[in-house]
This record gives sequence, C-alpha cells and structure tokens, in this order.
Amino acid sequence: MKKTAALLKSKPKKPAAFFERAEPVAYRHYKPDRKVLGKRMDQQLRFAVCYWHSFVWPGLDPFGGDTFRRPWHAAGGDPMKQALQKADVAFELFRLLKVPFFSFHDRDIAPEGDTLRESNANVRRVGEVLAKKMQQSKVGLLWGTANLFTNRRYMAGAATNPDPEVFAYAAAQVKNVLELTHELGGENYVLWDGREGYETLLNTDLGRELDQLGRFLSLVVEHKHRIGFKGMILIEPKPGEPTKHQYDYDVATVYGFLERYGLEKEVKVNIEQNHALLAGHSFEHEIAMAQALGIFGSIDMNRGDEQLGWDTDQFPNNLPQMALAMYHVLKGGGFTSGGLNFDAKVRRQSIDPEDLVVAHAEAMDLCARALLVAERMIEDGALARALDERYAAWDDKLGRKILGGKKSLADLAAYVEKNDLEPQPRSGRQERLEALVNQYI
Amino acid sequence: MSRRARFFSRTAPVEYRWYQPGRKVLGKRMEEQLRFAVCYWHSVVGRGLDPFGAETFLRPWHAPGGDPMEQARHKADVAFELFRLLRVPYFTFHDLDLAPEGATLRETVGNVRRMGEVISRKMAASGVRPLWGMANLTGNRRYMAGAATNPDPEVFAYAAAQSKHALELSHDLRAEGYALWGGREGYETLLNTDLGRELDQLGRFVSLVVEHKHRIGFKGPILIETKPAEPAKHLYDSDVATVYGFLRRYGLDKEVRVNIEQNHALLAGHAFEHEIALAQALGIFGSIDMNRGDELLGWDTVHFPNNVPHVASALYTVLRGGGFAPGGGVNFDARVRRQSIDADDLLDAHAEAIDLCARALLVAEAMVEDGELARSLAERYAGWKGRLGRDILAGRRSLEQLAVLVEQHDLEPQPRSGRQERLEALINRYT
Repeated sequence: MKKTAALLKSKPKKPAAFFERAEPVAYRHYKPDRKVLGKRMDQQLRFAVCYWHSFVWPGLDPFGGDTFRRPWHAAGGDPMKQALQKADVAFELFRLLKVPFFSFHDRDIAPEGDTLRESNANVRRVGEVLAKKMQQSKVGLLWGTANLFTNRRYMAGAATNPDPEVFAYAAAQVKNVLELTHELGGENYVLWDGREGYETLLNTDLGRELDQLGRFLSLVVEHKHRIGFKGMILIEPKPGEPTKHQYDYDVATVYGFLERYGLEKEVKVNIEQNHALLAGHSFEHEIAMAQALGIFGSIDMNRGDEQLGWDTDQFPNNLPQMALAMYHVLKGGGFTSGGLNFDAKVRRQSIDPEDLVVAHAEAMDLCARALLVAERMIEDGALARALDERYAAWDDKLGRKILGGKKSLADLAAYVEKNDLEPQPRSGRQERLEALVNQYI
Repeated sequence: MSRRARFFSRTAPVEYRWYQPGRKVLGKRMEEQLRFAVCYWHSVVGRGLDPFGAETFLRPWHAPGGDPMEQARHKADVAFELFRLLRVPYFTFHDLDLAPEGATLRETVGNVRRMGEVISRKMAASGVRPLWGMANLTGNRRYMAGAATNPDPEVFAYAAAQSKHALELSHDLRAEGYALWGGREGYETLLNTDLGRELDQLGRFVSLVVEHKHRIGFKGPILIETKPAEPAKHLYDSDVATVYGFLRRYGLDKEVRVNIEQNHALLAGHAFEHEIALAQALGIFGSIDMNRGDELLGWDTVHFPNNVPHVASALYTVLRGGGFAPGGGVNFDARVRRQSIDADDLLDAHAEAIDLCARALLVAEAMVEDGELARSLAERYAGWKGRLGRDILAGRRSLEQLAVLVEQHDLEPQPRSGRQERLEALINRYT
C-alpha cells in the first residue's frame, strides 16, 4: 500500500513510446467543429474509446492464450504500476485520436484487491490519476460501469444471485463506481448485466430473479439522486452470451422490465449494434424502438458478423448501415448526454499498437461520413415526406377519433357497414425507398 | 355426411395408450389438465401449399367450382368427425376458416354467421366447444400493411368491424377465450414505417377489443399470440417480454394474457418453457399452442410435437404455475407435412400427439410429486428467506447501507455450484 502511495506521489515516468506515431490522426471526414444540423460534429457524434477492449483484453479467445503482450500485461509486474502505465497509453491514444470521451469499468482501470475495501481503494487511487489526466487532456468520461461479471463470485449473477450476500457485495461495488463516475464528471452510468440471466431454468427461479434485479436497479437510481449525479442511468441490452438467457434481452424487454419496477422514467438504454443483431434486430430497429418508448440513451458502435451467433465486436465498416443508424439517432433528436462509444476490439491477430490507432481512426472517419449521409437524408426530407404521406389519413377526422379513444368497436363496425367500406391497399414502395437511401451515399 | 364418401377410413374413435381422460393427475382429470383443442385452420383449411409448389391435399371441399357455402358445411362435417374420432373437448377457429369471404364485409359476416349456426348445432350434438375464436386479419390483401397498424385508418375500422363480429360469434358459441395473432402487425422496412405510431394504433385496437368484451359480457380471457417475425420482418408481439411491455404501456396488463406457441418461442430464440415461466412470473400466462419447430430452420414449420423431454419440461412449467385456467389449454397449432396427403395422416398425427402429451403430463406429474426439482430450487434461494434477503427485497436497505455492511463484515461470499448436470440428469430419470 505504501509503495503505491509513493508511486503516485512521484511524477509518472514517460513510458517508452507505445505507439509509433506521435502526431494526432488527420481525418478526411471527421471535422470536429464542422456544423451538422446546427451542432458541431463532435457534439453530434460524441465519440468515446472504451478502456476494456482497447487496453485490457490481452487477445485471448476460448481456444488460445494472449497474443497482444502489452507491456502492462507482463507477468510478475506490480499491478498498480501496470495500471498507471495502461492509463498513460490510454490517454496517449485519446490524444492521437482527438476523441472527446472514454468509458471504463472499475476493474479496467485498477487491479482487484484481496477484499472489496482494497479493490475500491485501488480504483479510487487510479481514479485520482485519471482525474488529473482528464483535466490536462480535456477528455471527458462518457460513462463508468462496474465489472460485475468476471470474478467467480458473480458466476450465478450479481443482483440475481441466489445468495443475497453477493447482491450486497455488488451493491457496495456499484456504489463506489457510481460515486467515482460522479466525481470524474461522468456524463452517464451504465449497467451491462452479463451474468444477470440463467444457464438452465432447472436451477433458476426466474420471477424471483427479476424482482432482485428490479430492486438492485432501484437502489442505483436512489443513490444517484442521493449524491446528486445528473447523468443518465443506462442499461445495455443483450440477449445471451455469456449466459443462455439474459434478462435485459433487448430494448422492448428492458422497457417492460422498467415499467414493472416503476423505473421507465429513470433509466434509459445503451444500444449496441452487435447485441441488437444477436437479438434478431437491426441496429436502427432498436434505436427507433427506444425512441418510440422514450428510453433512448446512448449507443455502442461496433459490428457483429451476420453469419456468426456470437459477439464479435468488430469495428464498424458498413456505410449504408451506419448511415441508417445515425439517421434514426438524428431523427429522434440526437444524443443528449449519450454518445457513440466504440465497444469494439481489434482482431486477435491485429497485434501491433498501430492497429489500435488505425481501427479507431478509420471507424471515426466512417462514422463522420455516415453522419454526413444522415444529414443529407434529413435535409432532403424525401424519406420523412414519404412516411408522412403514408400515414396522412391518421391525421384526418376518422384517424384522430380512433386514436383519441372516441370510437368503440361497435361504432367502427356501424361506420364500415353504413359506408360499405372496402379500403384499397397502397404500395409500401420499399424498393424505391431502399434505392433512395443509396442516392444519399 | 351420408350423402358423401367417408373422409376418414376409420369410424371408431381412437384408442389411446396414455391419454385417459378420466384419470386423475394432481387432483384434476387428465382432460381438464390438458384441455386439448384441434385447430380448424391447419386441419381442414390447409391445402398443402408451400412457396414452391401448389396444393397437394386436394380435400374434396376444396374442389374448384364448388358452392363455397356447401363446401364450408362439408368441411365442418369432417372437422366434427375428426373431433369425434379423437375425443377432443375443444376446437379453435378464425372467422374465415368457417365460411367463405363475401364481396363486402356485410356479406362475409352473413356467411360466417350462417356457418356459426351450423357449428352451434354440431356443438350441441357433440359436446365439443371452442377453446377460443379469432378473426383472420392476415389473409386478405387489404391487410398486407397491417390491420390495426395499417397506415390507413379505414383498414383499422374494417378490422375493428370484423373483430367485433368474430368476438360476438365466439361469445355466442360459448368460446372460453378470444385470441389475437398480429401476423401483419409489424413491418418490412423502417424506411416506410413509423414504429411509435403503429404501436399506439395497436394499443388502441387491443383496448377496443377489451372494451367490447366487457360491453357484451364475454367472460373469457383476451389472448395475444406472440411471434417475432414471419410473415413480417418484425412483428410487434415478438415474445412474452415484449408483449408484457406493450400491455403495460397501454394499461392492458390486467386484461390480456398470452397464448404461447413452441415454434414461435424458438423463432424468438427462447425455449418453450422459458416463455411459459416468464408469462407466469409476469402474471399474463394464458394458453399454449403445442407444436414443434425445427431447431435448425429459421421458419415456422409447425410440426406436431414428438419430443417427450421437451414436452414434459413445458407441461411441468405449466403445472408448477398452477395449470390452465378457463380459456387456456393445449391447442394443436400443427399441420401434417405437405407429403402427408392421406386423410388418416390428420387423424394419426393428432392422436399420436395427444398420447405423447398425456405421457409427458405423467412425467411432469412425477417431477412435481417427487419434488426434488422444487426442493433444490428452494435450497438454492434459501438465503433470500433470511433477514438480509428480506430486508433487501422489501426496500429496507440502500446502496449505502449495503456498502457499509460489506465493509464491516469484510464479506467475501463464496460461489456455490449450480449443479446443472445433476438436475438435467434428474429430468431423464422421470422420463
């Protein structure tokens, strides 16, 4: 402990350059201060780099060991020293990319100790270092989150564990991370419930576990208000992996869960492309659904493989798909305190530090390009007009009366009979609209 | 019937090995626990079409050029002969399964009502009654862009009128419930769809059905059948959790329950028993459509069930949640394969499925009576019955208080085995 304190006092040594380049990336499309629909591009996109995939994951997969061999992962090193080296490299990447935000789990930034007290203290100590680096670099925290899934104590869930002491432990851990997030000026706080699910119903009481999860989330919301944290509390939906079934399956499921526990005005969603795909939805479906239900918060920009059934978290690279996602974000009013977090990892064979820089830089440039496509879609207005025309009749008398609750089933039956109504179908014009999207690209 | 050639080769009712209607299972007669229903649509309406080929069944009542109402009566005769041979207590129908569509809604409703009278007499003679009725709001091209969720409110009105008549007919035929399957309530592309608006339309539509049910004094449940897609790319009633959120949003969670189909659960990425258990936990469990999807195919094959452990797990979950209430039951929303063109295929498919369900019910009974599964579950969560667990769930502990507790006691909870393999092996011992 003393050693760490001494270490923190001494000025962090400049590490041997991890990245080859020293000059920030030059972008073709990403111009932070270019105005897009009345806001600066950096404010529309609100990019964040995630700590876990970028600096924590060692390139393991279930069939092989680490391939990345980052210096701060060297066996036998002092874990706190390694955490600080990792932070140096992280902020160097943020500088090279000129990103405005990052995101982290407590366990990403500092090593776990023997007790929760020690773990929380480690997190706090690195938190102080991050605070200084944030001040110097002007990089902000998009959101913080607690890792409630790696340690084996959480194997049967954190909030949904059959043991209430595990619930208590997780609560104590979240309290620390939520408070740190608040103190670092974090814009939001996220919960991704990777172990809140089950492997088999044979050993699971699903209804009881939902009640536990509802209680846990309520405690987080209460504490947020108690400490005066103004950011959003976000749930990140995912249908399965690591568990067979996860309770925060998709946006519609999370909405029902929030309604059940009276949290639909308090909690919003962080939507990931790959998780949407695993749930059988397109990315824009989940975004549009969250907006319609009033719970849209933030997005994790990445890309799943449509032919694989798991979370590959690749960097995004399909322009039309990204443009449609951005179009829906903009159409719904854009981000408030949410943003575009790259929850993406370089492939296991991409072992050069430069791969990390290039993957992020290319993704940012492509997102900027997609934003400009989405801007054209909005400004041209043909898509919105086609939609308005399609539903125009609902703004007339009959439509307004139906939706206003002024017509019963019997009223409508009498109306159809009196007028011998035989409504004629009209073309959905899908191919023309799909072609239109390509015209903006 | 006597004027026509016999449709089925046999005249004596089916002999079952396992299904004994009067046998007591957990305090109820087996037929009361299972509440079997044969569906009209796959059994006597289906023609054996698929997207790559024309009809193969060539039922006599589908002969081109015949009088549609006479054919509807022929179909009803065969349907009730099937119910008699199988000794099933219930059937299920759409309005347009019973009678041909006319040139106007008025004419259609007239046809359906006339066939309703025929059905009513057959019910009186046979004692078979509808488990639930419903309106077909998917077949006609006017519904191609949805019924309740159509961009044209006149289509909404038309569907409302059709549903009013179908609900009233169900009421008059003493159906135990009324079901809605929103097969066109979804979208093909978001490019031409205003998702939020369409959800509001659907919420209004279900509210109107619920209001009308109360107005006419229909006592049975209104059921929504969940399905994630097919025919639409996305259907709004995707799965149980989605329907629950929808019902909460429109204040209908106390009024409407779900009808859960095995194949639809599978398409949504869930086990059948997951959907049943979730509906029970959320208080919206209604009925089940017993069939079987192919795990390796991405569409609704609606095979007849034939996997004993799977069916037993589903029925165990149904029993554990208290079994079926009126309006609920085991409806065979299943069809014989396109190559199963003999009349007796229909009979055998149902009879074997009924027997298999009865067998699975007895397995589920053994699971409940032995109690080992329930005991191991109770033990696993026993900690939540202690003081800390009760205080947490009752809202008597804040995040702050829990953090102090963990720190004071230096809590380091130790994981315990989930014993999954032992529990899975246990299931096979009951089978």
